[in-house]
Amino acid sequence: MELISCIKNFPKHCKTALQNIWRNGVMSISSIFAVMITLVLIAVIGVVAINIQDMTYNIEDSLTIYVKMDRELSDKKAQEKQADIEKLAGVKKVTFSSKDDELNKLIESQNEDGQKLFETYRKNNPLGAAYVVEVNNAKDLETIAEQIRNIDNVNEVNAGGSSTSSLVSTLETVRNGGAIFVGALTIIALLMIANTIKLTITSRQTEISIMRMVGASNWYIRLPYMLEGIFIGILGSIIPIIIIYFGYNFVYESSAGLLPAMLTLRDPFPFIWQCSGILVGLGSGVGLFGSFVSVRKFLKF
Amino acid sequence: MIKLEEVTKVYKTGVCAVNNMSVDIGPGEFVYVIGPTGAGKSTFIKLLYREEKATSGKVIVAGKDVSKIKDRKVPYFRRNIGIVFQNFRLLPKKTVFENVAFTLEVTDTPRSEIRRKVRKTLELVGLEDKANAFPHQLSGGQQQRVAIARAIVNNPKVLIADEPTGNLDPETSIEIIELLETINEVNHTTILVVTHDKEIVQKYKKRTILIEDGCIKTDTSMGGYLHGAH
Repeated sequence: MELISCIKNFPKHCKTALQNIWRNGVMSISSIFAVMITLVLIAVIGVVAINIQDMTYNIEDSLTIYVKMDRELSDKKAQEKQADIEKLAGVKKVTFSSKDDELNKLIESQNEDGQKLFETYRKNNPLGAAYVVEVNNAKDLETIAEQIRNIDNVNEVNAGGSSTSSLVSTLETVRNGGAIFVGALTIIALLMIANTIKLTITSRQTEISIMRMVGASNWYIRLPYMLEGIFIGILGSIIPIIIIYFGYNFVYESSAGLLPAMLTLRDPFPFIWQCSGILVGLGSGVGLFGSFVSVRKFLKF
Repeated sequence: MIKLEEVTKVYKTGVCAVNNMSVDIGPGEFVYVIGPTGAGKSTFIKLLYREEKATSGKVIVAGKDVSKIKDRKVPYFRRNIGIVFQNFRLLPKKTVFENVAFTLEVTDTPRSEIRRKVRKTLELVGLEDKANAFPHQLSGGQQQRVAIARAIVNNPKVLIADEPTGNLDPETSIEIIELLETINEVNHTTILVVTHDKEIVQKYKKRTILIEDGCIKTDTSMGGYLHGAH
């Protein structure tokens, strides 16, 4: 019965909520500003953190294991080993590079002199075939390299050594630290919003007690306040969204030529829309939650 | 209409505000509740509209055992009771009409009926020309009339007035009491008036309950503040 009444009165409650925002002028504006500022903070730091995270993943993805096979092994024989490597847990992709390919790479790496110096080895290639192994998780580089070493006819395995592993662990620290920072910031910001909304509702304690006196059911009292919280959240997220929209586009455009390929920013679309959705969700969700909790305090018997 | 059976209320602080009280008030009665400050008058009426729960004993109002009403159901129970306070307690940002209509809005009354009932009630309390005024534009007596209109607009069975004249000058107080009497006669509402005002109790002789130290000291149908003391 109460539910039906709530649904039937929904338009009226919406109207009351908007009216309350309007009539409580300064209080509402201060709430909206609190939401706005905290959301801007969350948005900016969140966007930066997400991009840094992307970059660390890109760097990790570019880390590979270089496997040199025995020189005596023919291309064909060497290629048979591909299946053995692919079998290993954590291996994402194995790329074969034949003796000729290896020589070409060597020539290329020597710039202009390469051709002169090494072309003569083409007939009697001293280089062995090789594999470039990509792994799923950069942390496993060393263990997988070890396993590859145990395969027959593998001459040399290079996973970058200790500098690579320390790079991997640094990247992970950056990622985890960023995530914790953003998480903590979000919680603090949300508590701030909830607190501001609590203040606006506490100032209307008399109103609630009068509503209760004349026999308004708890949901009848609560609903307009909850809607008010949602509206304040939505109003407060408009400016942060505008800032993200123009700000991110601007930063993206101006960074385009400056950053190396590995460190590019995320494409602005649909990233901006996803961020906007999260901001509106956070704002209205916290508004709803904040007002629900603060009204509940006055509805106890 | 109102029935208390051996009701005791002890607050968490250990104060015993109502001590083994029994009283029976019939439908359509007009009753004064008097007594010194701290005697338990306020607790007595709070028990009636379930602002407080009795520690022991039975409180029956409008046919309902008040202490058995679930928290969730309290709002529905309160629709049977009109309450008027010393400090009016009007919604400051709503007009007179909206304040009175509010009682009906929460019970999902159709709009046309709300308009009709509010107009009729405002006529009864003599404020039909102030419908669009805001509370702060009215005098104390007028504000109290609005509060009374709000309390009676949904035709409650019981009207409780807690010091309704406490903030008003003597002349206005008499007007308010006369208004309550009219309501008692016209609507046959059971009315309970808590008061300090000796003159009123002496002038309009009604059933008077004197509460002292959480007990009913005297209960006389003849009225009079000093009854039993002299």
